[in-house]
Amino acid sequence: MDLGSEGREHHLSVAHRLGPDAILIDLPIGVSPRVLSQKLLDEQSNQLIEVVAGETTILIRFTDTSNLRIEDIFAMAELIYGKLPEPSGRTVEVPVKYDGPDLERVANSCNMDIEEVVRFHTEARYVVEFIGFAPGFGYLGGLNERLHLPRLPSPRKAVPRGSVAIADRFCSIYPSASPGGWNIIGETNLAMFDQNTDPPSLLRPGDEVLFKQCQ
Amino acid sequence: MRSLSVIRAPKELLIEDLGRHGFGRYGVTEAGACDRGSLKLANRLVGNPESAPALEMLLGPAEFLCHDNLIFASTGAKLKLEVDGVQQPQNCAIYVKAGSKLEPSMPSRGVRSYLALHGGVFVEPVLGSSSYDTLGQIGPKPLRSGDLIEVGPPTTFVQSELAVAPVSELANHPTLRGWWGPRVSWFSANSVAKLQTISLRVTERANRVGVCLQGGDLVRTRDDELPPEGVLRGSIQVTPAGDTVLFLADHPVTGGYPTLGVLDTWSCDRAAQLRPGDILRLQLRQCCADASHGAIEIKQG
Repeated sequence: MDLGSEGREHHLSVAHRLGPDAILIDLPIGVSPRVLSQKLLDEQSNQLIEVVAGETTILIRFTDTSNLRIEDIFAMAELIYGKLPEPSGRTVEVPVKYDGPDLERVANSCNMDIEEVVRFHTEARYVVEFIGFAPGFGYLGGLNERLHLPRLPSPRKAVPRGSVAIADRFCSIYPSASPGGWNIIGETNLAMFDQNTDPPSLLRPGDEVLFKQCQ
Repeated sequence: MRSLSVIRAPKELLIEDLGRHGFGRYGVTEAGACDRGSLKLANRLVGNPESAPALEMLLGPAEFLCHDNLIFASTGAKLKLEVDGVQQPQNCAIYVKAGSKLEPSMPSRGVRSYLALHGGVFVEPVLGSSSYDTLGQIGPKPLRSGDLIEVGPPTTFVQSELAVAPVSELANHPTLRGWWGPRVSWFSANSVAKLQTISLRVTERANRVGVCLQGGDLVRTRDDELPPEGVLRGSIQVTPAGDTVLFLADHPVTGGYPTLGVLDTWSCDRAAQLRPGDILRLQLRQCCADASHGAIEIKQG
């Protein structure tokens, strides 16, 4: 079964070297990056500096002395084939003021009026699939297909903290001011990240997220 | 505790060490010195562990007042360094007395200089590191004029036998080297081949997150979106507009643009010293399969 030009096939992981001490693995459908990263951290944390789960990939940075072999990681991936990540059981409600700088363009691109964008956005139930990009930046799956849009051709140098934005099949909230290429539709005043709490991120993988319109 | 004060802060004055590792799953990036080699050298010169927290200065000039006797070293961007009005060398351990004034000038080459102090800059670590992460705003806040910098207790000082460490000057038109990355196949073979032969220009869009280059003219062969995936310090990404971005220490943990390649260690450090308007070349090669970690199923591009 061919699942794309990158060679992602059923039961076939493909490793790409990222310089001398890291690899990026394209995982086949059926192998959850979240489940694999947890397994790696549980069993091999002394060999690893960092494990970052993406949407369909896993990035691994090895320690200088690591003797972990790619075959070991592929074998782990085989073992967890078909195993779904478990929901956390938590629900986070996010109040949003829908007044983002891209809201009108999003509405035009999706052939909707602004009220419809807000309705489609608030009606969906989202799940935190993984956290990446910036501290506490959760990738929320569950965005209505009619709101799927590409990122901006050139990222903005500064996106304000609390911006609620969409890109591709994801929604997210910028936890702090940062550069970013997502379409900003609104803002929230909810604090998404606190470096003095453990874990520091409000959102955790598996959380359910609901958006509520506020003025 | 020994200390010095910031009389005049440069454009950006940060406390950095070798970074914050292991928090990528919460979206926390590595941060740490952008030019790691210069931080390590500065620390070695003053007898600190390489990873000790030190000051990272963006541009200049700056002025510090020492409240105690201190040993320091300045590395990285080339600048004129004065102690009480007398010029002193960079890349060298210097002993100063309480009451001395330290004045690093605006750099003439490069943009980031490092000031290491014997004993290390003392701050409470956050998530295991004393680095400031500008993207996530984690760690000790940027320093401003009037701030007090505390210096850790003196350790056994191992005097470097070198009077001045030999450091090669930052070349005007550097060639940055590295390896092709996982998503080379997202670009036309012609434009990828051409990239090696052309000059790229550093734009104004440069900070601790990354440096944006102009002139790559990479042509994408597919217009779908890349699922977000992990990136590294040194990752080279290409935006849909065709800009090439070199990621520095405060890079996002994951990115949504295809990774064309990854810079080697020296080039990561060199990239941190690029100025807007600088011209550079990229020279990327295939990553050899037997470099480490045994046999590996490699698919390039």
